[in-house]
This record gives sequence, C-alpha cells and structure tokens, in this order.
Amino acid sequence: MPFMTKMNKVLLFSTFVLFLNFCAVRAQSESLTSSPYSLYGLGAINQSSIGRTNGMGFTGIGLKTSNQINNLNPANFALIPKGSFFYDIGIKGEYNQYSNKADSETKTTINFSNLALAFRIAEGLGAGISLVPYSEMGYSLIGIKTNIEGTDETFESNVNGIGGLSELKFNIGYSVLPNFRLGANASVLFGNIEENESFILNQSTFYSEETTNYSGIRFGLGMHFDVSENFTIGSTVQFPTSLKGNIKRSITKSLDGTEITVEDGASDTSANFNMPLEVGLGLSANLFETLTISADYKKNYWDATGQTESLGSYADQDIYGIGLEYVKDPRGYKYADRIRYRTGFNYDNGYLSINEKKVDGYNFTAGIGIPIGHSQKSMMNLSYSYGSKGQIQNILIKENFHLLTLNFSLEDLWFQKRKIN
Amino acid sequence: MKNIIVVLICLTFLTSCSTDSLNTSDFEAGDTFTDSDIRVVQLDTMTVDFSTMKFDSIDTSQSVRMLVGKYNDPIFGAVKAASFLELVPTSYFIDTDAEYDSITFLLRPDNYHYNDTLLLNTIHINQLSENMKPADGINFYNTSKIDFEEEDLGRTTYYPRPMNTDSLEIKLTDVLGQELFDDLQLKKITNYDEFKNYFYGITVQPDADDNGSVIGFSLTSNMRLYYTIATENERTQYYTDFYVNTSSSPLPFFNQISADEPIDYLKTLIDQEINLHSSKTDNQSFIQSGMGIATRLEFPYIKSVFDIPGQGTLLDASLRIAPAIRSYTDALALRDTLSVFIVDQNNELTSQLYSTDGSVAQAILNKENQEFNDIYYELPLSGYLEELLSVDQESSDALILLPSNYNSTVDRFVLNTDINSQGTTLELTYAIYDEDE
Repeated sequence: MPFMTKMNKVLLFSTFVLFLNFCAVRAQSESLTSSPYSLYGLGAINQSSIGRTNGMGFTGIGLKTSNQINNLNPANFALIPKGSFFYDIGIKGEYNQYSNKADSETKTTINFSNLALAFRIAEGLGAGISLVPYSEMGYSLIGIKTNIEGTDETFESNVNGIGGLSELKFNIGYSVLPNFRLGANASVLFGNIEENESFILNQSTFYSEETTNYSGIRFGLGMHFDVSENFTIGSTVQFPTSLKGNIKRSITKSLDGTEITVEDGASDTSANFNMPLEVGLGLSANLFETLTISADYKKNYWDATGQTESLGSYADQDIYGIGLEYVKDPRGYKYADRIRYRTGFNYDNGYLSINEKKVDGYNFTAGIGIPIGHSQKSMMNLSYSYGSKGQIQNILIKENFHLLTLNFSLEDLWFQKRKIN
Repeated sequence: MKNIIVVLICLTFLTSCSTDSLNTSDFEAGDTFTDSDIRVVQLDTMTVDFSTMKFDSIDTSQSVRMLVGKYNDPIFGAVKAASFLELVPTSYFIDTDAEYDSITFLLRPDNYHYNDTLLLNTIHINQLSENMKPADGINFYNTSKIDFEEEDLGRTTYYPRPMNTDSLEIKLTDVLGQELFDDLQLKKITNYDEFKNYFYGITVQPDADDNGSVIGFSLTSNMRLYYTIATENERTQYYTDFYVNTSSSPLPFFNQISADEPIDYLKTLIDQEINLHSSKTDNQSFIQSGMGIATRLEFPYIKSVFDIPGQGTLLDASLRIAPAIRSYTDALALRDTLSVFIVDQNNELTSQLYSTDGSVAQAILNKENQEFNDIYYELPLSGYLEELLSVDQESSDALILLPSNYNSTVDRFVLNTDINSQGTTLELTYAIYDEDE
C-alpha cells in the first residue's frame, strides 16, 4: 500500500499547519459561547473533550481506551498500540436558549473543539499532544443598572466580553505493570479575554476596554488500574496553579461631545486567576464484549482558591457522570455491527455561587461512532448533548443548550512492515 | 480520507477566522445578575471659593447702546448712567433761501431698561465743553470724565416706555439751533473737522435727584435741525440730522457709569486685584455689569477627587449657584444667562470660557421651581475642571461670572455662595474604573 506513506505525509503536514494556525491565533474562534454565565472568571469552562467521551456523559477517567485518544487521563496514553498514530480533530456547534423572568434569546455558534494526536514511543510508553479550549467567554448584557453613589439615581451600562483560554496539553503514559499504568500531563494555558463596558451619563459617555492576557502552566497525574480484564479504575489529579494576568486597558470618555482618551492601552498586571485542585475518580467495565460502562466523579476545590466575583464567589464543584457504549461486534464483518452507540448523563453542581445559589447544570448525551476507512479504529464520532444550567428563580438565568460535536478520531499505521512490497 | 482531511482543514480554518458573530446580543440579564465593574460616585461637597472683584474700568465705548438714567439700588448704591457722544452732520449744505425753524434731539429706546420703569425720569442734554479725547489716548471707559456746560441744551421728564419704539424728542435751545443753522448756511462749517472744533458733542444725563430707571437708547439716536424753504404758496419743512459718530478712532462715545454709596462690602473694592472672599460678605458675592463688579470662582481643592481610592476619571461637573433670596425683584430682574470669563491672578481678563465642544460656556438660569424660591444658575464645568485636573501645577487662573454684554448694561446680581445651602453646589460625577490604584 504505497499510497499510505504519501497520505501519512499529507496528514502530518496538515496537522502541523493546523497546529500552527491555532497556536498562533488562538484555540477557538471569536464567537459567543452565548452564556451570560461566561461573564465570570475566565468564561464558561469547556466540558467537551475528545473522541467518544463526548457521547458518554463526558466521562472517561477510568475508561480503558486503546483504539483512540482519551484525553481525560494521561495514563491511558500507555495503551497506544504498536505502530499506531492517532489523530483527533473536532468541531462543535451549540444552540443556546437562555432566559430569565423577563426575556429570552437564542443563539447558535460553531467552534473549533479540539485537535489532538497521540503516538507510541516505546513498549508501554505513549505520549500525546492536544489543544482544547479550556474556557470560552462570550456574553453581552445590556441595561445593567448600577447605583450612582451619593444619589438615588442609577446609570445603565452595557457590558460584553469575548475570548477564552486554550489548553495545550502534553500527555505521557507508561505501563508500570501490565495492569497498572501511570501518566503525567503538563498543560500550557493561554489566551485572552476582552471585556468592554460603556454607558452614557447626562452629557458624558464612558467606554472601557480591558484585554486580559492569561498564561500559566499546570501539571497533573493520572493512574489506571485494571482490576480484571474487563474492569478498570482510574484517577486523576490536576494540581492547582495560578494563571498570570496581564491587563491592557483603554478608557475613553466624552465630555460635552468631545472625546477624551483617559487611558490608552496602558499595561498593568492584573490579579492572577487561581485554578483549583481537581481530583477525579473513574471506573469502567466491559460487559458481554458489547457494552462498556463508564462512571466518573470529579471534585474541583474552588473554595480554596479564595476567589470572588462582583456578585458571586467560587465554590467547590462536584461533577458526576455516567456513560454507556454499545457495539454489536467491534470486529464484525458487517459494517453496521461495528457502529458504536453511546449515551450518558452528567450532573455538575456548579463552581459559581451567586447570592449563595450555585449555578448547577446537567447534560444528557448521546453519540454514535461510525467506522471510516479500512482501519478498524478510525471513526467519526458524532455526539449530541442537551443540557441546562441555572434556573430562573431569584436572579439567575436559565440556559438550555443543544451541543453537537463532531470528531474525527483517526488512526494511521506507522512503521509497519509492508507485507507486500 | 484524504478528502475528508482537506474539507476538515478548510472548515476549521473558516470557523477559527470568523469574527462576524460577535456580540450582538441584547439580552437583558436583569438588574441583579451582575453589577457594573465601574463605580460612579457623585460628590457635592467639593469646595468652591467665591469672591467678588471689581475691574478698574470697563471699556464702555464699545457699548451697543446709550445708557441714561439713575436709580437707587439697596445694595449697589446710587447707580447712574450717562452718555457722552460726538455728533456728525449728515450734510454741510443748507439752501440759502432756507429759514431756521427748530432743533431737537431724538432718543430712540432700544428696549433695555433696568429698575422700575413706572417712575419718572429726567433727561438733560448738555453741550460738551471739551473735545472727546480719551485721557489715555486709547479708549473711553465707564470711569472717563469729559467736561460739559452746566446750562442745559434741552431737558425733559418722561415715563419710560422702553418696549415702545417711539422715539423721545427733546427740544434743544434755539441759540444752538440758530447758530448751527447760520454756520452751515453761510458755509462757515463745511467739513467734519470744522464742525468738530465748533461743536464738541453732547452728553445725555439723568437728573441728579432722579430715582427711576436706567434706559437704553439706540446709537441711531440723533439731533435734528429743522428749517423751512418758502415756495409760492407754502413753506416746506426740511431737516439736517446729526448722528452719533461711531466711526472715528478712538471712538468718541462712551457711557459713564457710577454707583455711589454702595453697601460697605463693595466700598472696599478699590483695586482690581482685591478679591473679596464671600466668607467676609455674609456668604454672598456680587455682580454688576457696567461697573465691572464680577463674581470670581476658584476650585482650590479640585484635586482632592484623586483622594478617592482607585483610578478614576471625571465624567461630569456642574456648578449651581442660587441668587440670594430677596436680592432680586421684577424690577431688579435676573437675566437668563451669565457669561464665564477666565482671569489671571491679577484679575486681568484673558478670555471667555468655552465648553469642550467649542460653544461659549454659560451659566443658565433654571426657573423650573421658581414658586418654591428654588432658582439657580447652572454652569456646566466638566471641560474646565477636566483641564484643571489634567495639569500638574496649580492654576492661578480663576473664572469670573459677568453678563455677556457687561459693557452695555447695568444689570446686577447677588449670589448666595453658601455651598451648604440649598441651591448652591458643585456636583461632580466621577467614575472609578480600577479599585486598586
């Protein structure tokens, strides 16, 4: 199969181009995440991951995966088969509807969702690189009324924010024992968020534009232990880190119709953003050769970061997820038999506490994995998830969203001796 | 598979480069979903230093009108205005057959009036006994003096009807009329210089005992010499007009304005550099146009806004000044606007104050709540204060308030400068955009 090597080069080249493109600009497109909740902190934290986990309630810490990339646990990278080279490219589309007591709006967005590759280095040693959006900010709120101190009057401002952070993650996994794997990962988190506020007061106008550049490095560890052939437990830990913030601010105002520049792109170090300690536990079981079940529990210790927002604060977050995958016969001769069906559920009690009320959310997911090409492992993963966040009671905004992700999880074979030359 | 990759690359490129779906939302999140990151503070306790100053003189040769009249002001004293002017004949030719008839002076009211116009006014017209030459060779001022004959050329008493444009005709002595007639008819006077050397001009004076009103007369007022020429059956009347000379330089015209025996505070203003602080004048400050009394404003502690923690910027500033209650009446009326000028530390007027948009800054009288005695002048100051805040050194300049036509009126004002009282405040609106300095 001489065309295979040619294609390898094409693929490799394309992947590099993509990497360059995304690294140079940013890991996600400049569009709204649509969530008003992205107003807080670094934006709405991205839940979706790579490959099949999107269809399985975003679970996968304990999911032993040897046929594609599992980015949720670095220990899994030890499982990359000899001669395999995995790619994963994904995009996602989101349809959001958010409402409060008075208003509702819908929005559709399409974003890049991930780029990843993984390869084997040696026997029992695998590594991978992935680029995934860590958070996305995109909100626009109008008519925020704030008191003018010293009076009974208010002023009405419009705020919007856009941007997000990307996570460039290096994973390495090693099989210490045939049934015990360890992994480590290092992430470079980078990106910027831009927030604007403007208002008119009497004859004067005010406009501020703040761009905050965040960057930081985060380390994590992972573990896989196969209790039996068909039962694996896993755990991960992401160590807390602090992202360095660098703020650039421009402020203009107008007095009696004349525009005055108050500050013009002045640079300043802003408050760092503290990322919490994240601990995850997961398990997976393979039943009757056809059914895979995966369950995750994650706890993110936001309390300890001691951060607050203007109206809310960060609170410890618990995430529960469960996922199922069914395939009639992974090695079946019939194409239909090899199609994988997935479903899952995910509950997240939220990391934001607004007025002592946590913004929780849930997702139902469903997915399908369609084999492509000759390779048994290459697959197009399509997942759909429906979720809801917040509630209308009190001051919160309820947000319903439909998320569609499309991943191409591809395998290429390297260094395989050709049977026929 | 190759094709898929290519399509995919294009797709991701496209999505990563699209910027058109930027924030266009108009979702109102609700009042309490978030607060503005910007704090806006309104301050009304900022100190304003009010004082009263008096210009040594006002250039009243630039007046747009003649001011004549006298009234007793309870605060500013006996206010007297008189006009001095040179006249120019429209023609130096009178027919040899003409016969002298009479001579009058026509005063044309121009609507300006101050104080009670229901009171009787007297007007004396006197001939000048010296040439109209300014003492400093440059200009006439409200304080200038020109000698004139004691004997009236003409005199009248009248009830002013300033809103009526009918002119007031005062008969002048025939001695003057006959002489002028003869000199012109016999061609003893044939040009301006000859005329000027013969007839220096006139002054229009109120009576020393008048307590009426100051009335404005147009500069188109004129002296008129009547004569007749006989034809076969009848005599036809002709006249020669003598107009106010408004074209020579220096201008041989001015209004002399004085105020005798004002209240004691104002008597202390004997030098232009004196600033009479309002704390010494019962928290009042004064304005009298024509006399050059002005209210002076300074903002010595304006930079204390920087003491507010955090980084901020001025958004709005407006000064309200209430006129002192009972200082004004229907007769001693407030005017709708006051102009703002900049003076230096010696109280020399340097320029008028302009808003940042280039228009003339004005304090505008707000009478919305007049029935509650809540009336005040409102002066937008954001541009000026922004400038004070943006320069490092303390400015020695100050603002003064005067009517815009201060050389052509005798309007006067008493302002309540007590910043703690209702009405007079400096309202600053300040935005803090960074709490941690």
